[in-house]
Amino acid sequence: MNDRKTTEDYARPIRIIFMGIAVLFLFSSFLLWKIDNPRAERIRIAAISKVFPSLEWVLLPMKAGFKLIQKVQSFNSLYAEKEELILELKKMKTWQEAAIQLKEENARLLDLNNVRLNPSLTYITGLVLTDSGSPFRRSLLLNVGSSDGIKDGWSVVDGEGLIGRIFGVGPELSRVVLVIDSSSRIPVTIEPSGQKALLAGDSSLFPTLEIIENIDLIRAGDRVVTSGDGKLFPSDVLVGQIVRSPEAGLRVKLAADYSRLEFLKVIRAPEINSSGLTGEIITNTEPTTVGGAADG
Amino acid sequence: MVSSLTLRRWMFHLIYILICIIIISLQIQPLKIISNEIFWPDFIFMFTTAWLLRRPKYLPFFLIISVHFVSDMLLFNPIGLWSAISIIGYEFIRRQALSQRVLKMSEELLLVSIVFTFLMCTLIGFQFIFAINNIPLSMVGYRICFTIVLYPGVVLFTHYLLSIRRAHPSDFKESREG
Repeated sequence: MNDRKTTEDYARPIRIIFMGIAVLFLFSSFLLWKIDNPRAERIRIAAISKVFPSLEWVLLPMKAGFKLIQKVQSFNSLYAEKEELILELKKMKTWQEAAIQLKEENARLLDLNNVRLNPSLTYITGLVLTDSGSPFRRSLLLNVGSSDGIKDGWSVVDGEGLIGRIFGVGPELSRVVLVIDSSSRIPVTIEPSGQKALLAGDSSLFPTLEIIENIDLIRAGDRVVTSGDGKLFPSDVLVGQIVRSPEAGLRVKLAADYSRLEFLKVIRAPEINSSGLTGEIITNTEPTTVGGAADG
Repeated sequence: MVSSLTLRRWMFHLIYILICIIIISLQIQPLKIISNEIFWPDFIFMFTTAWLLRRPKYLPFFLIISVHFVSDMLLFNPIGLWSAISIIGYEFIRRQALSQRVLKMSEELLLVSIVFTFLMCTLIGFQFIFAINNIPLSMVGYRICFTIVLYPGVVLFTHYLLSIRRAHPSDFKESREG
């Protein structure tokens, strides 16, 4: 027992020193992350792209198992779902009729106005690889990256509504920060009143609305779409509907189906937006030419 | 020649890493069976603590740190923050385990809940100071509660399925020979 004690006497200070170094390293990496966030996130995405292929052997069988369980779960509600679908189909029939008429009318009007649709507003479809896993951060990894032309800041939708925004792009994968993440702020318009607001995530499935001009004009059931302010997002992408709850105030029920995120579309934003914005701010030459014109 | 003890230690390390990989990849599965609204308890914390209290010498701190660092990276947490905070808690738990007194289950649960609550509060404090993310406090509360409630289950799992138990005097004898 005695010599055991003495070796521990030597070992302990060394251990403490090593531990101190390790904690210092961890803390400095945290500080680095805090100070130069974009670079740290780029390093993180690069590291994940390296690690991810070797994780696949655990992820794939798990995914298969999860899918099986989900299928069994959906079998249980099959009958109820069928009834619901029949009802919905009846409703849709009438809508279909209306849509066809509107389409014809729209085509006629477009023809009348000589409108050309913006060709750059197209999609890139990606497969969801992973979820963020922690309740405090809501984000996803998509299997499309810079090699597919994905850029930071582009918006991501599923079939029905807005999902989030690209934040961090690797060569083969990109990270999507969901609108329900507590750091997410998105400018929106509330229709039909046309009120502008900020959609602010708070980690719950029903994000809140901040900075509303006139709260009295907003009703439950109003549509919420992106406003395109700040030029980060394309405008008029459906986000959801207003719901009002007695304890939590105004919230947005998202149109996107968050329980089944599998294939997502990344909307290719037109390049001109950001460069055009900076061009407008730096207007040094304009006053001089105006002055020169006045002199002459 | 590799002694049986060294081999067993390496086996422990491997099993620990494997369990942590499985936990992380379960968490990042995009398909959710359980609804998004239910928050994951900190399974890695539970396993690490349960092992440390039983076999404090089988989990070197650099292994714990690297696993936590990787999980910070993969789960998009602030890089290194939770690893740095939690390692201090783990070392406190390790010291408790190395003292001669054997804890009863109730005492163990109390120790774990106090340490975890303290660590989470420190994390929140840091996030508040550095203005990282305003996490609703109710969610932190849920996380702490889930972790404490499920801890006995993890202990049973490690005890019976992985057969990680407290060392007996006979083990000490064996280890000194080995």
